[in-house]
Amino acid sequence: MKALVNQCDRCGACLAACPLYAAAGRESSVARGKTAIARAILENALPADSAAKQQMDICLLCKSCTAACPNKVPTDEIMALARQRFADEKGVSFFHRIIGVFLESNLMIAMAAKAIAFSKKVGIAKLLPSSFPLGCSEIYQESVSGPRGLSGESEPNFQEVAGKKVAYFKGCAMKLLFAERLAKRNMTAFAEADLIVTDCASCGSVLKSYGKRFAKDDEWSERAKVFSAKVMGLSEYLASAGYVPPRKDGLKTTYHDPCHLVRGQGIRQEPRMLLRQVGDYQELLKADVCCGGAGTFHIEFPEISDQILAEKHCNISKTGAVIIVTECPACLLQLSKGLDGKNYEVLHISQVLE
Amino acid sequence: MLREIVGPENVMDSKLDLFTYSYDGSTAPLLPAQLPDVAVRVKTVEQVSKVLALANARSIPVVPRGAASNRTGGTVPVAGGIVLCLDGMDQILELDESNLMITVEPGVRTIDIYNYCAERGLFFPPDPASWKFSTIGGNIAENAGGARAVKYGVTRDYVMGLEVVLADGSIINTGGKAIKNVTGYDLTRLMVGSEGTLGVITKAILKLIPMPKHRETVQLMFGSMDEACETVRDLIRGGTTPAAAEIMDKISIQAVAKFQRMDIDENVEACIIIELDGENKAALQEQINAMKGIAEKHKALSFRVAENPEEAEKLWSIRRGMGPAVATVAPNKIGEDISVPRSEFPEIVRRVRAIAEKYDLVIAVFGHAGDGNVHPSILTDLSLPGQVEKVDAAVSEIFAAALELGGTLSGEHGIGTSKMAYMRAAIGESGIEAHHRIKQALDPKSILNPGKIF
Repeated sequence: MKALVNQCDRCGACLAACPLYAAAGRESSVARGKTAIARAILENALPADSAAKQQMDICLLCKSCTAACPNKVPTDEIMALARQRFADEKGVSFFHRIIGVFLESNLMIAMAAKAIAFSKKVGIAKLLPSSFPLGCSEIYQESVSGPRGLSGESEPNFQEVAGKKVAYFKGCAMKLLFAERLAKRNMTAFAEADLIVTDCASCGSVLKSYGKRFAKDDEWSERAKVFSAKVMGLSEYLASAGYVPPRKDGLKTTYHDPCHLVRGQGIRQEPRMLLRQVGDYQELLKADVCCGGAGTFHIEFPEISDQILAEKHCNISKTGAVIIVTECPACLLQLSKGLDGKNYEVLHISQVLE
Repeated sequence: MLREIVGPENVMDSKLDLFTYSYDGSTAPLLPAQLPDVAVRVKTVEQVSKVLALANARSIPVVPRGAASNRTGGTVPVAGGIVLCLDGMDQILELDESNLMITVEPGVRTIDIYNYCAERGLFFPPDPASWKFSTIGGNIAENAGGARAVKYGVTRDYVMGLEVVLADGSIINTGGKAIKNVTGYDLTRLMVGSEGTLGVITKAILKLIPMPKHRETVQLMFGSMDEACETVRDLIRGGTTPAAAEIMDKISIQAVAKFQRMDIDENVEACIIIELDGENKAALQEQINAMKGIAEKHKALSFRVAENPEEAEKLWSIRRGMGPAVATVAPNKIGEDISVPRSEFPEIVRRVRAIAEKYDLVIAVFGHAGDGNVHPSILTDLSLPGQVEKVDAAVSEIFAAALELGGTLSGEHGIGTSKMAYMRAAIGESGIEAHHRIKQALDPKSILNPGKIF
């Protein structure tokens, strides 16, 4: 962690990139400030107290700072390490413990999946409790996974991959990145799969990182590498498989880039390409700026999250689109807030491509 | 009192806030921190005026701050006091298309001014490397330069007028939109580059020019630094002033090559990226042909003209990739910023080489060949014993070499705290005295950014 924080030379490039800084205007909330605080704590110049912990928690982990950083300082990794350290030293808060239990319980996951599946059919998250706990954790089953093609019929290009086991998993929250048990369970469960497609940006990002995370684990490193190589985001998969979505003439859409898709996995063109084939696609101003959802961030820091969201809605309104599309359930839930008086609805890309 | 002036939410004094307003983009050590007593966000010139009047009455230091991206300690609150955050004053106030001028608040990012103008066919040329995140107020206070300086000049050349709050809280307006203006002292130019020690800039009127219609990018490789520099010299003497002429030495080139996994010939000692712009495509083509002739005369190893914007971006990537690339070579990068007359460019590079050898340091050299501004970057690990002293000694010798060749301590980064020790050598005793008198006249209690420049 020390080596990571020392990479920051405090040039300030992250100030222009951080959505949190744009909303809060406080140096302690931008990457430069956070890495400086982390460094001061490591060198015992600042106490590791609750105020410091809060600054580590108040991060969207959206990687915008890293993308803008000349030295590519991985602030999200630093924050994750810092949170882990706080958790090790001070114990995990009740809130995060509940999520942990929730995530590790299959029954809970199945219930959440059903709830989300239902919500997908009936106008999404308006029907969900707006925050805890469904807002932060869900798993999709095959039956709600997206376009028909995925389950094995139609399009010739799909034949090569169709019929193979496609599974969906979303382990919530970057805070639990370190839950090794879940990762190992996934690797075992999906060992037979040839391709693992996920329609959740955060999922994809985490699943694709298993290789890196287990690189030093003699027993699991090879399995993790193989597993991660099989993972594809939904639009990434559809685009590479040559899927042609049904045309909906005149349907005006725009697209919001989930952080974990655009910066986490470098998937930018694929969803746009698919949406252009569907109808009249409009590019969104600051499309790749975080919506403020960010896992459990919107529950923990609602005010600042709402502020970031308000700008997003303002930009969406300007496009004149009737649908704002995204590819991440967390973004979906976040964007579904504050829709009153707006002339558009929020849909997951799988709903638009069907 | 402060809370009454700016509202309680804009007064920041928690331990973490104070710590995060203690540093800037300079290599001044992060720890032990030089903490301010409070950080204050302002939105209006009236608030700035009231804060300064209060601070002046009580002799409290005030450090104006934009993005704190400067490289020389200009925004480090070395004497404590109030850090005055101006980045919330971020409005573009007016675009005057008939006079080609734009009026902005100090917290607007420089690239936002560029983009706003570019969308309307107008051009704000100053482009310091930090322009994506630094604020125009800071650029003016540091008189920032950039790659386009060779043809278009530096920030100073575009500041027509300023609104400035003086130490006692009084508000003055300097200059204006009139091209000809000899009404009294040129206070605008006095404020430009004053690093927050004479007043707080709260508004600026900036000059614009029409956006050039065409742009060409050329990348040239040479077997020697001298031949690279002579090519730029002959080009300018022949009547072609490039919009940018960026040069890199072998250490820089190989660092980028390694970082970007490119293969660059070991014989390449220097690389130049040249950008030409103008109204007329045919005329640009003629300039490129002439450049080719000059380059051949100086035994250029390669000469590549970008066919399209994507390729131009690719050619530029070797220069733009420099920062991160050299950063991977060693844990610490001490980037310096000296300037010499253009003709001395090869000589200063030779001297930097000799200094590097003497102290057994790796120093990458790159910079703006067109205007003689050089950035020697010492690549080292400061945690090794004795390394800090070695680097300090090498930096002193680099400064001495620059001054000896008729150059300056700083081309575009300012003096701040990092170069204060060398000021006497640069401007002499009487020069320092003149600075003191000006400071005394405008800020008798020395509350504005004390402990900086001289």
